[in-house]
Parts: sequence; C-alpha cells; structure tokens
Amino acid sequence: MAGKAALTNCCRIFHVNTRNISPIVTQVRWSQYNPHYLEPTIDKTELKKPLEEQDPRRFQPIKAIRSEQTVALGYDFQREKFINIMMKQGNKRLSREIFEKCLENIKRIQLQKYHKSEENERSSIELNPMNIFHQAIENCRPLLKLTRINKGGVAYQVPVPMTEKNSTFRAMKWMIESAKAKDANTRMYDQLAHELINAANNTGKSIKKKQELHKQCESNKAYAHFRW
Amino acid sequence: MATLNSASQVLPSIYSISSFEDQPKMSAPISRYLGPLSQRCVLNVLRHTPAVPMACSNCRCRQFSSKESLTVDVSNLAEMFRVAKQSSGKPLRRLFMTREEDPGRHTMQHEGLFYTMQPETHNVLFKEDSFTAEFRKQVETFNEMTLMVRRPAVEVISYLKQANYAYPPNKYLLYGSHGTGKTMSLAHIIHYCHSQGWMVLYVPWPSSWNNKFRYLTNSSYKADRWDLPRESVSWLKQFKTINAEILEKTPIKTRYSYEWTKREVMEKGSALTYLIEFGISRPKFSSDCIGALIKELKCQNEELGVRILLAIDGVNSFWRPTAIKLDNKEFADPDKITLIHNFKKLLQTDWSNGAVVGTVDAKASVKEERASFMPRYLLKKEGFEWLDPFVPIHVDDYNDKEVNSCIDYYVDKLWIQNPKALTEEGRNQLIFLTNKNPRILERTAAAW
Repeated sequence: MAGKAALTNCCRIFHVNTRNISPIVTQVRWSQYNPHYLEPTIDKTELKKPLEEQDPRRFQPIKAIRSEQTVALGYDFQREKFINIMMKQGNKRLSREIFEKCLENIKRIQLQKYHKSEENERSSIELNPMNIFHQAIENCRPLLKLTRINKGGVAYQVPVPMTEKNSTFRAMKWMIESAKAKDANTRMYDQLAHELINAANNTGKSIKKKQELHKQCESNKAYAHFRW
Repeated sequence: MATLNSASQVLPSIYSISSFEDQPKMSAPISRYLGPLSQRCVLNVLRHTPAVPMACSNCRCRQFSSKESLTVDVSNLAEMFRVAKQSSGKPLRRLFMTREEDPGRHTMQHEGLFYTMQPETHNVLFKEDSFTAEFRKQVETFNEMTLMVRRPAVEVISYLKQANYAYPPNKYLLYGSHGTGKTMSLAHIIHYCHSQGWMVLYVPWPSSWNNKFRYLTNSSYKADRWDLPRESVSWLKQFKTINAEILEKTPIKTRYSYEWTKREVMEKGSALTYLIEFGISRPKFSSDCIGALIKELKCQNEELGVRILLAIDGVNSFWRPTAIKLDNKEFADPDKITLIHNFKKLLQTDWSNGAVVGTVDAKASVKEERASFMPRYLLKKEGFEWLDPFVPIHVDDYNDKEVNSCIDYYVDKLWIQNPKALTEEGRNQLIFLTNKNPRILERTAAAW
C-alpha cells in the first residue's frame, strides 16, 4: 500500500505544469480542423434544445460527425474506441462482431452466476456487460508510464504521469493483447469476455501488466526529477 | 392524454401502454396483451391471484366470467397498474406468458404469448442437434425452454385436428425468410403431436446428410448407394427416445423378414424395438434398418391406430446435390444416399393415418440457390412435383403484439441489459433496428 501512496504523491507533484520547459517531446498530431472547431453534438435531447444567445455553437464552426457516432441508444464512445483499436486492416465489421459476441458472452457468464447464486446475493452481481467493460478499462488504466530521456549522454527510463486518454488507450491495448494470448482453438470473443470480467474484478493478465509497469515506475523513482 | 403520460412515467416501461394509440379502429381501449378487460380483472391479473376453474374468456385470469363491463379508461388502466404494483408488493405478473402449456389448446387468443415447455418433454423431444446452437445456448442461459404461440403453428395444429386420417397424409410446408421462426413453429407442432400420442419421426436438419457427413460407407444392400452410419445411428437413438412411450404401449411386430448377414437374420414377427436396437448396435446396417422401420410403419400404422408425424426441417435439401464425388468427377445424386432415399418414400402418398410437416429453408439449398424463400424456387421442379399437393404456410416476421411481447420477455429474463432499451424510445429503436425479425431481434438484444 505504501508503494501506491508514493505513486499518487508522485503524480501530485507532476501536476505542476512545466510542459514548456520539459525535455520530453510532446507529440503534436495533425488534425484536419483548427482549434476553433467544436465537437459535434450527438445527444438527441441536447439537439432539440434551443441555442442560447451566447452559445459558442452560434459563432464557431463545428466538426463533421464521425462515421461511428450515431444517435442509436447502443452508442458508446469507449466501445467504438475499443472496436477501432482492435480492428485490423480496416475490417471494422469483424472487429465489431467480435466485440458484440464478447458482450453476449459476458452476459451469459454473469447470468449463469446469477441463476446459480442465492437470492440475497443476486443483487451484487453485475449483469450489464457494458458496465463490466467500463469497470475493466477503469481498473486497467495505469497512472504512470516510463519515458526514455537522455541526460548527459545516458538514457534514463523516467516515470511520467499519463493523460486520461493515453492511459485508456494503454488499458485497451493490454486488454486486446492478453485476449490474443490464447491457443488456436479458443475464440477471441470467449477469451476477451473472460479477460474483461477478470479485469473488472481486479485480476487477470492485463491488471498484472499494469501492476508490473507501476512496479518499474516505483523502482525508477529516483530518476523522476529528470523530467524537468 | 396528460394523465396517461404521467402515469406511464411512474410505471416500469415494460408495462407501459402507450401503444393504445396504435389501434385507432377499436372503440374500447385494448391492452397490448390481454384484450378487452374488466376493471376487476386487471387488478386480479396483476396481483397473481391463484387460478380458479372458472376461466374468464377475456383475460384468462380465470377469475371472472365475461359478463363484467368491458370498458376501462386508458388513464384508469395505467392508474390500476400503479396501484396494483404498490399494493401487491410482488413483481407484476408476466403478461407475455400464458399458463396454457398444452399446445392442443392454444388458439389465436394466445398469439404472441410464450408458453413453457417442461424440461422432461423438452429433453425427450429435442436433443443435441435439434435446433441451432444459438437457441440451445439460449435455453441454457434462460434456464427454461419457452416457445411463442404464433399464427403458423396454431394454423397447422388446427388443420391437424380436423384432417381426415383415412386418406393419404396431408403435407404442410412452412416457408419464410431467414430467422422468421420456421423451426420454432415446427417445434410447436411436434410438441402438439407428441402430446396427442402420435409417433413422431423428426428429422432435424437433413441438409447435413448431403454435405456434412462424418463417415461414408458403401451400402450393404444396394451397390451404388451410400450409407451414413453415424447419422443413422443417432437418428435411431433419437427416434427411440421420442417414441419410447408409444413403443412400449403398442408392441409392433415386423411383417417381413430381414436377412442382414447369413448369421444375422430377423424373422417375420419379431419386435420392432428389436429392429431399432439392432440398428443402433450394428451401425453398418443402421441406414437399412431405418428403411425397414419406415416400410413396417407405413403398412401397419393404420391397423395399429398409430398416427405418424413426419417432421422435416429443410426438406428442400432432399433435392440438393451431395458433396460425394464420384469417379467420373461428378457429384452423386441425393437419391444415392440411403437415408434420403428412405425418407423420400414417406413423402409419397401411398400410406395413411399420418401427416407430413416440413419447412423449406434457403439455408438448406446450395449457396447459389438462395435468392428466394418460396417453395417452388427452393424445391425446384423435381421436388415440387414430388411433394405436390401440399399446403404452403407462410411464416412471417413478428407483428406488433409479438415483438412487444418478445422484448418484454427478454427484459424479464434479464437478457436486455441496456437501461436505455427499457424506455419507450429504446423499445421503438430496437424494433426499428431489427425490423421485427425474430432472429435479428435476438442477435441485437444480445449486444444490448
């Protein structure tokens, strides 16, 4: 527990905004839109509301909607993100199919538990697969990562905090990697379902990966000041 | 209208009643499931009142006769749902279920309602390869086997009740596009016949005989035919379990003698069960045993008073080219498979006291011939002429009542988990996305 407290302390220290003088190369991604563009509104109820006098949407241009963003009630941002990360060679249909079958499997596994357990325990069993998915991602998200920084001709592995977006990506990537580590006869959606349920319970391969990274960050704590 | 809206917000969405508006022709407000209701009936339906012998013809709550006043205000009804829920403390009765478990007593009044098939019946009638893997999984997950009472099955059952069995068998063919419930309707009909004490010859998916056979051997009887020992043995086992009761009750003796080998001879007058046992224990002769069984049943069933149901799922595969490659690099005729050859004999009209119910399924044809689901297209000229005359029965997508009932069932079984799907908007979206197709609805609900 002491290690965890130290890590969170570490993060708190890093919250000081010193990005401008940091030796870490911040990645700048190319975007079609300049920063003035606003995100599109997807929520149907939000769209129906009349715009206020000073609403920025009156004056600023708005980005075009992405192909996966819909008003369908099954839409979920993280779900689409996960599908995109899992996708290979643009085969989104397959990726989506795997994810949906995985959700179905989670539901079956949880329902089986539900029916087997006694009445008073039933309320504690989470049946909604999307909740399990979100919980798994949340549990898997690392706090820190290691970055290579050259100081005086020596390369150091320096622990630095991760942004939320970045850590979510890492968590999803781990999840997919651990689901792929299986024998040839096991299906991806079966393995992924088990992996997600395990991660939601704070066990499993991807959680282990997170803990390993945290351990490395802890052991390299001494280099933390090289970040500046 | 304002009262209705406020009331439906209080209610759980599965029991909301906004679809009243969809039925403008009815003068009295109609509940989605129950038909016209008396006020007292509604309360009793919702409160799990125990059944009494005197059944109410309107709502089947078995509590009151139909002489009660039949009009209920919409707002009143919504209010009643709320009051009933509060006062009873128990969950509301599952309005999408019917207590009538005898398929012989299902009428159009039960349309769209689910009935439970008891596990002992289900385990006897429908073994491993009876349905799709998806449905078998579903039964396991839901912990029960339920079928929806739908028009095609009710229609065929009513025909079966009224037919004259002194004449050759009537043939009923269920047809419809993929995932509309042909197999499930067939299951309902099989359940009816089994409950009436018929002998059921159920062929779950003969299309697999043409191309997915596991072992192929030369026929022991005719040189140019092929036997499928594994498939034959499993069919005989299935036949034995389904008809165990009737075989025990009416001991049938063979009319012909069969010489399998020089040592294994079955004399005239030996028991039919012995023939079945022999087929199971000697896979080499199992295909011919089925032929012998069919021959015996065809000539004896009328005298014995045993009614026979031949139920075939995907009957058009009997005219589908096989995957058996001959020496001249051509594919063998389906007739060259002993099993198909034998079952085709039962599709002829030279016997009586029975019925044939089959489905024509595009999935049972080869990939190039799945453009249409109509019987004439799928059976081709040859098959059509072989089966002619038959009664075609169209199995269509769900209607409004059925689709709502199905969604409620899924919600009740905790299969739909997305909380947004429980709202009226979510329900409408689900219906829109699936186009009321039973299979697509099941698939879509799986990921929700």
